Amino acid sequence: MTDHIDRADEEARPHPTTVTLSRAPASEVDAGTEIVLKVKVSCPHGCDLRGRVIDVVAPDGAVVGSSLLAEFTDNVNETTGFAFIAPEEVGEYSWTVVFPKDRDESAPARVVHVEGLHPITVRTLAHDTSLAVWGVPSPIVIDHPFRIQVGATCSSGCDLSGKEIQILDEAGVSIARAKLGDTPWDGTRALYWTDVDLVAPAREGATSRSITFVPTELRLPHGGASARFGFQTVKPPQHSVAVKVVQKDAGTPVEDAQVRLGVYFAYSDANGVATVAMPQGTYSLDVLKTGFEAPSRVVDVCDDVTVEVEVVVVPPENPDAYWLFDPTKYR
Amino acid sequence: MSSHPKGPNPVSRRRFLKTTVANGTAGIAAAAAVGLHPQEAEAADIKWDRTADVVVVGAGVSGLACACAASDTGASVIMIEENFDIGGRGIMSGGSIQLGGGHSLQKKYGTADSADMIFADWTRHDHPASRYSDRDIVRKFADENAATFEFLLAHGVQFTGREEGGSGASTNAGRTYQTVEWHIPSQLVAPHRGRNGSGLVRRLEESARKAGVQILLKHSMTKIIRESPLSGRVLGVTARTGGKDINVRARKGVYVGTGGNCGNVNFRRTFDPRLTEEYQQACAPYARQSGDAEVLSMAIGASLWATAQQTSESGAAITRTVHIGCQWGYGQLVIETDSPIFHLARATGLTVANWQDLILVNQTGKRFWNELDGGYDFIAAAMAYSGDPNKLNGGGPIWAIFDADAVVRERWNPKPPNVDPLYFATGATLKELAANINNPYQKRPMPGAVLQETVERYNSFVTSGVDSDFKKPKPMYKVEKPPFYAAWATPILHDSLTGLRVNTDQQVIDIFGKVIPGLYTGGESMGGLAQHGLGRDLVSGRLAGLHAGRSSASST
Repeated sequence: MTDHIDRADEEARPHPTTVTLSRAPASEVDAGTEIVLKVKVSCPHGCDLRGRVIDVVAPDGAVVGSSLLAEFTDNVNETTGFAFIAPEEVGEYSWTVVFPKDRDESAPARVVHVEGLHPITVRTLAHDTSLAVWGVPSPIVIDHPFRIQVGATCSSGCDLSGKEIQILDEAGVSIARAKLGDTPWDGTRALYWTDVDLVAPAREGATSRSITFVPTELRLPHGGASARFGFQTVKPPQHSVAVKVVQKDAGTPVEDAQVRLGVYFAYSDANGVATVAMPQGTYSLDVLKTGFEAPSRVVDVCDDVTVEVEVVVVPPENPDAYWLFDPTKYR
Repeated sequence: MSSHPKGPNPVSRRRFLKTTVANGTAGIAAAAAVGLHPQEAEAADIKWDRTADVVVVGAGVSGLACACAASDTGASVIMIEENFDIGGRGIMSGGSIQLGGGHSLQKKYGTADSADMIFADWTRHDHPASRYSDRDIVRKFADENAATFEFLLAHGVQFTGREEGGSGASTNAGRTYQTVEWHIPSQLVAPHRGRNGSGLVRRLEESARKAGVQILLKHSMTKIIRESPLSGRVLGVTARTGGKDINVRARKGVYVGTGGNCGNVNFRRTFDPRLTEEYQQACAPYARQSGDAEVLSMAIGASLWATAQQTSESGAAITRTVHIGCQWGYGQLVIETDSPIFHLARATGLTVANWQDLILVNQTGKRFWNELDGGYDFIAAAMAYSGDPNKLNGGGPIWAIFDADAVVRERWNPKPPNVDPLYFATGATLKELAANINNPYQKRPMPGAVLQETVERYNSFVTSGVDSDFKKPKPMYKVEKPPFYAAWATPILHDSLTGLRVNTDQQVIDIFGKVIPGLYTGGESMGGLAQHGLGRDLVSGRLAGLHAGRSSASST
């Protein structure tokens, strides 16, 4: 409760004010992006200061942001959350949150509130960028072309369209370049992406590639990004292996099972058949599908061959298994 | 016992208390004048707001059984429940009740069972669930199984039919019977999910109310009142409601059945220091598993018992979560949007059909185990030290990381109300995903570069077909197609498998091995029998109610 009503005949009296942050700004933000804060102002006399303005003032005196004191609870005044824009250069910056010296014209005692100050310091950073790479096939026949998708995004969602990504081989030599398209990938805010056409190396085995992104000519500072991806390269195929997946006893085809022959993949079709073209050799054959089981087996491929794999249905987990525990399986 | 603290002459104290309460003039000074401990004097000064023969704290399965049994003896009963409705964890249970011993339904279907078979099941030495049992408790439990089943029938509980399957640790005798789900949808907490336990607790509630049992909802026990801190009789409880404390007097006994202690971080760490705050518990946010019975009983001298049962690593003390991207994703417990507590649960979660569709990482963004393993080795790896010097105990949050292709395979819709934004994140890249995880238990940001490296390495395992790090059998799918997702998948607690020491009448035993007169417990608040669920709750609650109801009323 203010005390000026009881002593209305006095001259204007100063009331000190205290400025604090109910929401402090992040200590680090991307350059040129919003700095968000929320401010409290209190007077020891409990004055209601709603409607007064607080300012965020730069060292040169420029007001970079302002907000009204909108709330008054438990004798404390508070702004809503508000923002001002950080400098576009990387560095450490300081401002002062100022409750300006004010005079309460409505109060008969002409109460004057003393200026309240609170310093804030924020470091601005180069925008972080990051990469995604997808659609990488494997295995790939040696010397064969293939296509992948690569996308880049900025931590503040900046437009990266037209910016270049680069693919490097294991020795760090650039083997491809591509420019990011202008439409973000579906389901993302700002993943700018492109197809990249590549050629598999001339040797068999595991291969890795790296991607680098060094954005240039952006208005705001950005850091670079890198990522890696891998694939297997294989000899040209000689034979066709058809794997027919059927349900044991019922004999019905099982669709969409993952069939693996060593590093080769395929998925069974509506007839339960997955076909893989592969060179001669001995391969471990596994068939994987949720709700089914089949033991691994070894297949010798020396000609075109059809292999039938029987899978058995795995009963769904009993939801109350803990009630019905089988002592041999309970652990 | 020689070390037992000796209080004043019990006869003179009782006479004193009787006199002073009757006169309503006792004061602390007067109490001190006859040598009473100050807190004894407080007990003498208590103003009782309500009185019953038996006061039951916790309107869950064991509490309702206790109330019905006590009422059967002719005792008056007041129940105290902190929640806005009854049922505790039982109302969210599947309603499968392990009770046998040769009861009428078993006879009807020709199921061979006996009390001796139950005893054999729950005392076998070669199984961790029964190895540590207190065999006195098990013997009584076994002997009272059939009678407890008949008690349920007498109180209107309906069953779906014959037994569902075996149970127990050795004979595997058929003694799992399922109750019929409660017929009023608006009185279910977890509708549409076969939570038939609603039929058990609602029927017992119905029977209790018909018998005149008063149920005080939104009353939280804050104190168990004993004549003196470590001796004398339990006189009643203090409960807080609407910001006020009321004292409820129990002439014959107080039963504390508050549903176990898994939700009490400080208390549960008594048994396993790894169980820090990030581990949630099943049946929350409906039932707290507060440990109130244990803590407040221990405050007046009660002892724990058979604590090895909590960490025997058998059963459902802690499990891998099944529904991810929500705070509470235990097993069959899904809170649908029409649940009366959905506003508390906030999300239904994404149910994982195939753990090949994702990888699991700890709070530092690293894989830690084969994702197809949900056993205790997995749990231990999830709770391993994750490298945060400010968090030595507990493993921190575990996140399921998956991509857009996994969403298609699993047919998920990764948006609210299926996911809770505090327990779920999305990102265009893995680094952005890591930066977007904003969860109260993720104390340090997940390093995006580490998560990216983890996924790149895992993807190479998919390509080669061999998980060189954790031997996940035939890793099937890369995590590569944006957008990427992180969903809360931290192991979740369920059963309290140990608790207060009791005798075969469910009377609580103190740290000196003596009965605390007038104090009973059961269900998940008791120790000695680590059986999951309703059978233990019902037998122990019923036994407590019978004993308390038949006991002599306190003269104080």
